[in-house]
Amino acid sequence: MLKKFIPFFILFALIGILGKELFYSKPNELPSALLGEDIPTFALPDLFKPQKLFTHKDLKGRVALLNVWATWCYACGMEQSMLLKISSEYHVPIYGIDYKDNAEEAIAWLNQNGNPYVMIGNDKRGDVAIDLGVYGTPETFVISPQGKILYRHVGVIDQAAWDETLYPLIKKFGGR
Amino acid sequence: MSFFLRILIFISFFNLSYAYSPSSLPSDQLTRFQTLTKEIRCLVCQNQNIADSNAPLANDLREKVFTMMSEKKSNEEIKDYLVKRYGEFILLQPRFNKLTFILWTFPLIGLTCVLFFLIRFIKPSGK
Amino acid sequence: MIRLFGEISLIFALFCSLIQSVLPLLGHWRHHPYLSAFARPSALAQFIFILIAYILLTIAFTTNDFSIAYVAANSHASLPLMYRMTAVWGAHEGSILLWILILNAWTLATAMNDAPRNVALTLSILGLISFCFLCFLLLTSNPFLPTTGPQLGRDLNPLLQDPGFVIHPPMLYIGYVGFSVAFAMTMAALIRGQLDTAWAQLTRRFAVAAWCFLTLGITLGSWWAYRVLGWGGFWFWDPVENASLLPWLSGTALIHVLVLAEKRQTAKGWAALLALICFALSLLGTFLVRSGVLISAHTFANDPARGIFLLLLLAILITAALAVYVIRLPTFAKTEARPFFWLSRDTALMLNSGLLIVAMMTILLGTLYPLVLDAFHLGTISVGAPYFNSVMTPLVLIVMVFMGLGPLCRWEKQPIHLFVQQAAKNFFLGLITAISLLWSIMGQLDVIPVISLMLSIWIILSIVGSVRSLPGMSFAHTGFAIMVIGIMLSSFLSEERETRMHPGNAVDLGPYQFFFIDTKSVSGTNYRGIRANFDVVKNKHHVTNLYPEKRIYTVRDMVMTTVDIHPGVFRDLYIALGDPLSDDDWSVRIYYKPFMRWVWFGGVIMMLGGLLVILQRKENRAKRC
Repeated sequence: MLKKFIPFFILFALIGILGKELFYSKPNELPSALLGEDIPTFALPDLFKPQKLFTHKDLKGRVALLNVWATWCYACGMEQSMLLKISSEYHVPIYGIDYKDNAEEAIAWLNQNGNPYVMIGNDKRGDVAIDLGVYGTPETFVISPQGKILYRHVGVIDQAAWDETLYPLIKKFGGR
Repeated sequence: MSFFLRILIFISFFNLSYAYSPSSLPSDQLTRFQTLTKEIRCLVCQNQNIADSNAPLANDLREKVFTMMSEKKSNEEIKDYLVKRYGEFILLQPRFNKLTFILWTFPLIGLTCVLFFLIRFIKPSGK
Repeated sequence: MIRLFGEISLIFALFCSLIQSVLPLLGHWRHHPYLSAFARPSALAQFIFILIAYILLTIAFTTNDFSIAYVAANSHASLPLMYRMTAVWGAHEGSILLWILILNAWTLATAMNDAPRNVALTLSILGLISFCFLCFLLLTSNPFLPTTGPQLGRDLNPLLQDPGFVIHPPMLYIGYVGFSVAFAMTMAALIRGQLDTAWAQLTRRFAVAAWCFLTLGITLGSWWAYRVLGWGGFWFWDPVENASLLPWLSGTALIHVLVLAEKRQTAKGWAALLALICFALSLLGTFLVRSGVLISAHTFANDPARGIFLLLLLAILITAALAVYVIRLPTFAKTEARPFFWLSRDTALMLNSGLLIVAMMTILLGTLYPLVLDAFHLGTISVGAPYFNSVMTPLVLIVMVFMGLGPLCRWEKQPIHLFVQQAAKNFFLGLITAISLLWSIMGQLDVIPVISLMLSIWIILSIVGSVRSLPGMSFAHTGFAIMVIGIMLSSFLSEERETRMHPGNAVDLGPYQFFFIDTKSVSGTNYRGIRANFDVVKNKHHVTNLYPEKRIYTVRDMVMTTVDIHPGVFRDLYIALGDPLSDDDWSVRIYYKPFMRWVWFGGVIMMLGGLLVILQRKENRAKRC
């Protein structure tokens, strides 16, 4: 008798899974594979002063954001005002990685639109980005004071994402 | 040079880094390169592998694979490297572990069931 | 104006579909033939209203009526006329309208062919399906919505501006939707409590017809992808492709088991279940393609509301159908106890259906597995082409082994030694032919090519004796064998070269030389581009010129690679332009693909086999009268 209900169970299980996926899945947003890991070692020339190096050690000490961006990335422009707000109002240090970009254009762009970054590394070949598991721009990592990757946000940071996910996480780790 | 061509070159700006040339590989290594790149997903494309894509990230990853192959790394090491940074998602052929083992054993189980049902069908009451 | 009449037509059609589904059901329940008589007229009326709506939408496209949002999103004044007419199905809303139109066309065909005592219920169920889809259309995917603000048209996606687009979706939909007929007939028969020979006969005809179109649709899709995507591939195990392959596999199982149901009066329960599964898979496919849960190169724009609607539709229809099936199953199970001999055509057909269903479920599992893992927060994995290729190859080879044995079996018993003799003959003949052919073509023997070529020849040999009596089966099986030869040989023998060239360079590939002559600018109504001219030479004889292009479609600002192909019976030559590397240099991809055409040639022959099955049965009917 119970045998008759097996196909129904299978059907409902399938529908349930599909329904859940419909609401909750974001197939184009990957969770970072490096969550909880140390930030990979890197040493990039600083964008403004190429003799100086921006390394992974600079990210230790307090919770910080690492933002991967480029001038050719339209969406990164949309994020600019939010980043400026984060650094000036919320006082969270933001470090930047300029991904496969032209250094002069990047400097000009920052001078024109404002520079929210404490330091920026010039990742001309994109190797550091691959080490971080970056697959598109903009992407922003939340780094713990010990230098571990806490979270990766894919895409533009807007006020909603900041209020719901990023800022609570930062506060948890000692940011103001 | 036509305006159109200028646009195209601008768009393909990042492909100018043709420092690597897989066609310089000996033929068995070339086959290995082609097979390997067909097993790695292009993350910014809709369901393509990095062999069949011109996206900048795909080109970068192909170059990375080429570089690692030149450093005599094995396929496993290359895949591990990519998975560490991008997750299992980047491999188009899921690796055999306890989560995916059903994918690999299902056909066998299925065939066994078919045999079972067929025997029951031919001899319904075990005559 | 068009908008208004279009929407009114759709609403009338909705009303007709309601009548068509409810009244005959009531008529059956209450034994009122008067109510059941509403079935045919309302089916005709519904068809006419849907046709009107479809024609109006086409008119809107051809006259560039950009006051309709759907037209504005998918067309442009500079789009060539042919594509303006076919852009109707270029995106979600219009393709659902096409779906409903085709469903009603099939309904009409059923209305004209079904036996009078069955037709009312069958039409009622088809009407119910149509009603559900019309609700879906009107509530979430209305193609007649107005635009907000003035529009100039966004042009059709350049990937779709190809002759393949003109024919592939309609053929595919006709096939996909056609299995609804088999489903409806089966449900009607179950409700009436009679799975009789008449049901099996008619369902089989309609299922084979649907199968023909689905085979053609999938073949055309593969051909189109090969032409348009620029990398020489023809099947990618993309979720949307899998979504069309699943009903094809279960449909093939269905048409084989229906032979058993019709000629041997056995396996009726299994046939009915397969009809249900086919339909469920086509609904599931529709859901997967349009809901956005899977990453695919083909998906339409996502909208959760549409996804929910389709999921609910799927849930309700299939639950109801399963319920009917489970309740009615005992009533016909008793008539089935017919002893089988293990070595008979009956067993072969049952085995075939089992193998095909295992193949279908393997693909289904692979396609859905990432979703399942993600739903349980167990991680994100990819299940892509390499997996499917590894897993399906052995399965297909196993199917081919039995495909070559089945036609050798007779119904009921047969002397075993004769069967073994014939099978052994075919085996050795096949093996020798395969080895000699491969040796002469490839100069080396690899395991998989030898096995698959041997099995293809094995299959062809097995039908040699049946060409007269069963032309349909013979052609269909031969077509499949040819397709496998094409797939296997083209993947083992193909060569590709990706190099940097400028005009004046030459490249060798296989027995051919490719000379890059020059480039020049070209333009079409809605694009500008560069066309390269390649001279192809073999043994100092000029073979052809190939003109690959790189185009920019101005409205959408999309760059498209237009491949040029020189097709041939025994090989394809395929050139694609990569990216321009500097003023004169281009990255060029050249492919030499032997036996590529055999893949689609085989598909078409399979379809012809199906057509022969339908035509032959018409002949038999005529003879009997």
